[in-house]
Amino acid sequence: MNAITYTNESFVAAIKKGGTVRQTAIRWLYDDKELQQRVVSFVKNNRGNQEDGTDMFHEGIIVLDRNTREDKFRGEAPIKGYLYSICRFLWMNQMRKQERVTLVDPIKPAQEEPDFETPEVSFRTEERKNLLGHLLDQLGEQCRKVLEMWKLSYSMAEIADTLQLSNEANARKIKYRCHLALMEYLEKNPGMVKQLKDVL
Amino acid sequence: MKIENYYDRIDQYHTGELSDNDSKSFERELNSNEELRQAEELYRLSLNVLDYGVEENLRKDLKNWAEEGKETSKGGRIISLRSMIVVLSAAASVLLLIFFAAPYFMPQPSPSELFATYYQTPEASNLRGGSVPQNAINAAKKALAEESYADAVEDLAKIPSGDPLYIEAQFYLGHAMIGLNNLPAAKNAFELVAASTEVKFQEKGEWNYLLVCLKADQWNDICEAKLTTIAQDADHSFSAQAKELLKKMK
Repeated sequence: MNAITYTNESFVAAIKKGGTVRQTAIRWLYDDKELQQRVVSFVKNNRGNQEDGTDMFHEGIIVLDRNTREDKFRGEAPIKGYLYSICRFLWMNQMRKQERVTLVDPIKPAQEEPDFETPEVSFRTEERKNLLGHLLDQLGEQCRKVLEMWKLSYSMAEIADTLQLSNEANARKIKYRCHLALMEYLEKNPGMVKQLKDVL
Repeated sequence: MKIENYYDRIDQYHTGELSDNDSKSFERELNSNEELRQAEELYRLSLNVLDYGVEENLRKDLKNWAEEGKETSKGGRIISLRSMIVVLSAAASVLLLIFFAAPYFMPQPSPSELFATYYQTPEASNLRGGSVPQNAINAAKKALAEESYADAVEDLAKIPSGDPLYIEAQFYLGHAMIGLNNLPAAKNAFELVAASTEVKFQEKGEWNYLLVCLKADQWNDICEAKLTTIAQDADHSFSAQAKELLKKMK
């Protein structure tokens, strides 16, 4: 059981702090079975199934994490209401794409959890996913892990420890070399840079 | 453009490690230095790429959490690993054959030829630092590019041993000393860099130290041991070159 509980402020702070602190906060949110069930119920009542509902819950957490890291969500509203609105928005959008409209929402958000009709959600198009995935593939496995942990503000000591590198200095060295390699790859591929700018 | 010339400052700017004054100076320079602007843009784009990786990882974590407790089958993986072992064994045999047979077919290059093969002079940059040591480094790099080695030594002498840029200065001093054919001084400078903890220069110091050993025709057991260590360290920036050099020296 997860003993930690978060306020809006402490949740946002934990996400922005990154590292294992962020991971714990996300796990806390994920472990809210009641919230997950609300999302699943909404999806099931609107022509989705259990699996669609779980997927929407996951995607909602991903968007919430991104929005928090990018300062688009600063804890000004209850996190769980915000997450529910994101999930609902994502599902509605998916349904609209499939031309299945007239959605039913059997469970209205509670009074203390204001509804967000249009939470800020930037969609990852297939083109964008393919391009970003291709660029990530240019990095070796170790480079990718080091850089992603660094991006999430893990300390060099944590990176070294998690990835079983000899020491902190080695982790720093690998981060430097790998990040430089990624930038140099982009520099050598101006066409890709242009595509990247177009899809971002 | 040599991105590494700009990387540290851009990284420090983005991670909030620059002082207010240095940040403002950096922002001003972004408007006037096209190379710096381009490098900074590449840095930002690279962060977007990494962000996508972060999201993909979170997606995997969420799936794993959802599937916690479920048993996973690994049978297929064992088969594919076996196939891979066979392929890798065959590749290793071919490589070993090439490694041992090569010396019989190729004449061994001289130390100076090996030095010329692997030595690279540092490139100049358009970076304008603002501080006296940074300006001295930039001036020295420019002098090196123009082969004005004595001028480079003079610029680098302005950086005292306690300065944060001292190790970097020693790295360029090593190159300047190679240009002046003062190989003992070059060796000393690179040895100092190699013994430092400067991420950006330490491995370059180790590698250039060995190249100076070659140029000075002073290759000995210590150099051999150092070269072997680099070759065996897969994480070392010069591991591949070291392996190649070892092979050529057999």
